[in-house]
Order: sequence, then C-alpha cells, then structure tokens
Amino acid sequence: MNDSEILELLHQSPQKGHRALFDEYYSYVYAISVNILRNFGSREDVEECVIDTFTSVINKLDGSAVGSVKPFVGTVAKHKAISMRRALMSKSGKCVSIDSEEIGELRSEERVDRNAENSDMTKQLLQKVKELGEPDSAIIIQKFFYGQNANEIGRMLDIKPATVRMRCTRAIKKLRSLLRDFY
Amino acid sequence: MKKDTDKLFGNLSDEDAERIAADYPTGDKSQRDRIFNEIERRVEGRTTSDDMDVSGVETYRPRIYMKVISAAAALVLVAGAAVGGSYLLRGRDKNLTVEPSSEVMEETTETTAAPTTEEQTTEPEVPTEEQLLELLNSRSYDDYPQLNIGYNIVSNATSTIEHGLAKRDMVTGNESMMVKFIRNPDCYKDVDAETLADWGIDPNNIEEIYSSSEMFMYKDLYICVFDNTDENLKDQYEVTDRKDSAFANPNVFASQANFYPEVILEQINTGKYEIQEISGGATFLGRDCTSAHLYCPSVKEYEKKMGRNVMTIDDGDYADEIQLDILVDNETGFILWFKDTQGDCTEEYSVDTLLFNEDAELPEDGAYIKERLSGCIPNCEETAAYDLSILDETPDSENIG
Repeated sequence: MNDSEILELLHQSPQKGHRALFDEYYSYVYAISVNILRNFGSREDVEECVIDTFTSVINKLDGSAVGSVKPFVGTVAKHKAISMRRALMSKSGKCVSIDSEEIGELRSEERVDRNAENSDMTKQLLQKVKELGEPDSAIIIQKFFYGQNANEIGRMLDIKPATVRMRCTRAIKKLRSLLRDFY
Repeated sequence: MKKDTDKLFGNLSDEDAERIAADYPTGDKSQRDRIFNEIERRVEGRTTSDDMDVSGVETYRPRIYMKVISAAAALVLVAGAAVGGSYLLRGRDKNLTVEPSSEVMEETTETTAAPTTEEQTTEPEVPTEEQLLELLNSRSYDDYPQLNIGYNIVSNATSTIEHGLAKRDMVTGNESMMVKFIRNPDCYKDVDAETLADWGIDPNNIEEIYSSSEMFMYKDLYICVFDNTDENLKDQYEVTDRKDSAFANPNVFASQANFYPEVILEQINTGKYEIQEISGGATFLGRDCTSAHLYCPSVKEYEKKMGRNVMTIDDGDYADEIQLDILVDNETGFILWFKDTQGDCTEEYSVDTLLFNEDAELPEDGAYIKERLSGCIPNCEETAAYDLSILDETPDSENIG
C-alpha cells in the first residue's frame, strides 16, 4: 500500500488507516529505533520507542495533513529514538562530558564522516549476509540486528525454534569465514 | 560471536537500517498485534467505539446486567412450568455441590484465585494469536469416552454464584448436568413485596434463595428435575423425548445454552475481542495453560456487526469496553478460567473439576433417576403420562463388556 492509499484510508476509516500505516512502516520504524538504541536500551525500550513513534505519527496524521508519509515517519522515529537514548544514558548515569572521548558515541543526525567510513564495510556485510541464502540470511538479521529470539524467528519464518538455533550457529560460522578478509 | 556481530551491526547508518527493513521485515503477527494494540490505546480520540451514530433502537443492557433480569425471569418461568410445562428445571437436592475427586479438590483450593505463572528455568513457549485460536477451536469434548467438567461462575453484578457439573459417557451416549444458582438477597432489594409474592418468594425469607436443575439425558429420554426456594415449586420434574430437547445428541459440553465458555469462544471467533497479550507458563488445576488478555473496544460496535439491535446507553454506570482474561488448557484447548470485566462488573468462571475416562464419574443410571423421581411430582399431565419403563432396564454398565 502506498502513502496516498494510506492517507486516503486514514481519511475514510481511521482505524484501518492506522493499521495500514503500522503494517507498512513497522519494520522501518523498528529498524531505525533498534539501530539507534542498540547497546543503550533493552528490547522493551525499543518497543516503547516504536509505540511512541507511531502514537505521535498517528496523532499528527489524524489532525493534519503531511506531504510525504515516509520521511515524516522516519524523522519522528529518529527523534524519538535519540531522545530515548539520551534519557536512558541519563538514567543509567552515562552522562558524557562534552570533552570526553565517549562523546563520539552520541550520534549526531548527520554522521557524514562515519557513514562514509562505514558504508563500504556495511555493504560488504549485508552482501555476505545475503549470500548465505534464505532462511539463513533472515535468521542472522532477525537475531543480530533486530534482536529477535529463536521462538519469534521461528514463528516469523515458519520453522521450529530448534531449527532456527541450529541454522543460526552454522550461518554464523559461515559468515565469519566469508567476512574474514574484511574484519 | 554475538559481540562481534553486534559490533558489525552497531555501525549501520540510518539508510542501511532502512534497507534492512525493506529486505527483512520483522515482527510476527502476534508481536505486531500486541504493539499495535498498545499504540491504539494511546492514540487520543479513538475512533473505534464512540463515534457511532445510533438512533431509534432499543435500549441495550450488557450481558452482566442481563443476569439480574434472568434471575427474576427464571423464577417467572418456573412458575409457568408448574402449570403448563417448560424446560426450566430444578435440581436434585438442596445441597447440590460439585464433588471433585480429592486430588482435584486439593488443587482447586490453589486455583480459586487468578492463575499463577510458574517459575521456570526455560522461557515458556508462547503461542501466536493464530496458534491460540487454533488451540481453542481444536477442543474436542468427543475425544474422551468419559468426561466430567465442574465449574463455578461468580458474578459481582448480580451477587450470584452458579455451580455446575456436567458428565458424559460417550459409550452409552448418556449425559447429565446439574446447575445450582445461589442468589444474594441483594438481587431482590428493589423488587416490591407483591412481585416477590408473584414469584413465590417470601419477602421475609430471602436470605437463601436458590434454584437448581438436574438434567438427565438418558437413552431416548430427557428428564429434568427442578427445585427452588419456592415451596410450591419444589421437587418437580419434566420428561420429554430427547430428540425434542436441546440434547438430541451428546453435546452437553458444546451447548452454548449450558456451557458459558462456548459463548465466550463464539464471541472470540466472531471478532468481539482483540487479543492483546498472550503468555505461556501458567498452571491451573495442575495443568499447563496459556493465558491471554483480550479487549473488546466497543460492545456497541460488535453488536452492530452481528446484526443485532444497537443500543442507546442511558445507564450512567454502563461501560462499553470489556476486558477478558482467559486461561486455556494446552492439552485439550478447554477454557479453564476466564474473567470478564465491564466497568465495575465482573464475572469469573473457573473449572473446579476436570476428570477424564476412568477417573470420571458416569452419568446417573436409570435406577438412580427412578429413585430421584420417586420423591417428585410431574409438572403436567403429559409428563405424568410418560412411559418411564426404560429406567427399569438393565443398567448400561452391565450391558458393556
């Protein structure tokens, strides 16, 4: 479903529109959230961020029009995740001095230099993951990027949790071998 | 290795994350449903329940309130049965109680409260929404040659306690069901003395009002003995052909008229509720169970969807939203416990007896039924003229094997 269809559905049947918006952008928002909150928050924090993002987006879309949905959703997700990360760091006493070397851990939204530095490495990584083939590539991404457990992955891919664990172990070994030249 | 991989994925840009989201969508349906339901709860100005334009329709009372009415209606019907015959039937003895085996009784004392979740060293398996629905709908009361299910329903809205015990023997096809309603005098506090008199209730003796029925689905007969507080209506019975009753086939457990969990399941299947949360690892009656929390955003919307008259709400205490918690036996798919909450009103159903096959009691035999009827009077001439010689035949247990 494209953005204009979602907006039309939101207008005609708000609840169905909410669900369509959610289904279309759930993975997108989750991916942005987990990427920013990785190593700072728990699984529950990521889900809370996703919920907070969609709540804000829906409230906004119910009340007024936006030009393009995807950039808007992405921007809200990033802002929510960054705010949550700051809150989590503050709560955990991880307040970082502006002079500290750890300040580098706090991502700015631009991160132009880091993106440039890592882009090639990331492309290679994702390419090698893809080369594992399905369902192994999906298992690796779901487990190590999204943080899903074997039961959840099993339900998603319609395979047994024990099979997920076995394939994951083998895929990691294979991935390690494939990436040896890069890391 | 996880640390290595975290390090790899820890350097992803937002664009990379977006690309992963496109190539590898995440979240199974139950996870998505759970999160989406939480989002909907938080979204201001919900559109699911309050924006219905309703007019020219009859006043609705939620099911919990209906029980107040039905309590009174039952007595009226009993009065009708005394003069003309009806299916409203009353019980075997004044102290009808469910008598589970000692083994189950011990467990019952532990399960009168809400179900507990065991401490487990491994994470319990949590079914998806589809798997839970499949489990519920896979229940089969016919899988067991003999089966007993006893239950209690406690309603704070009507101050009513219902005790029930159903037995089935699939080998003979015989069944029985005993139900006893005990009502708190508060049920009648707003009923004037004249009306109480019409219902056969002594206004000065409403402390222990009960009604009960004992139904025997024996061979080709349907026999029901009913009893209640009204001295004029005690110990009466009615007989009809089983094929003309609601129990033409052995289906005492599957009857929505008698088994409340079947009503709940039908409502779940017809979309009354959204499943919000599913958890594993619960135990009830010593059995492994799955618990779930469900939510009906609008009774009005559901009733309208079902093609029933939608209601105007004129009761200030009325709550349109219903929360439902259920506990499902992992092995059988039976609902062993549920609690529905509508505003301040709650109804809680809990199974206290669940016995299978050789552990289960057989339905009462012809000799028992005959003895029971000997102390009763028929409710009408047609009943009195019924041929009950079938009760004298050799007990089923002696015909088997």
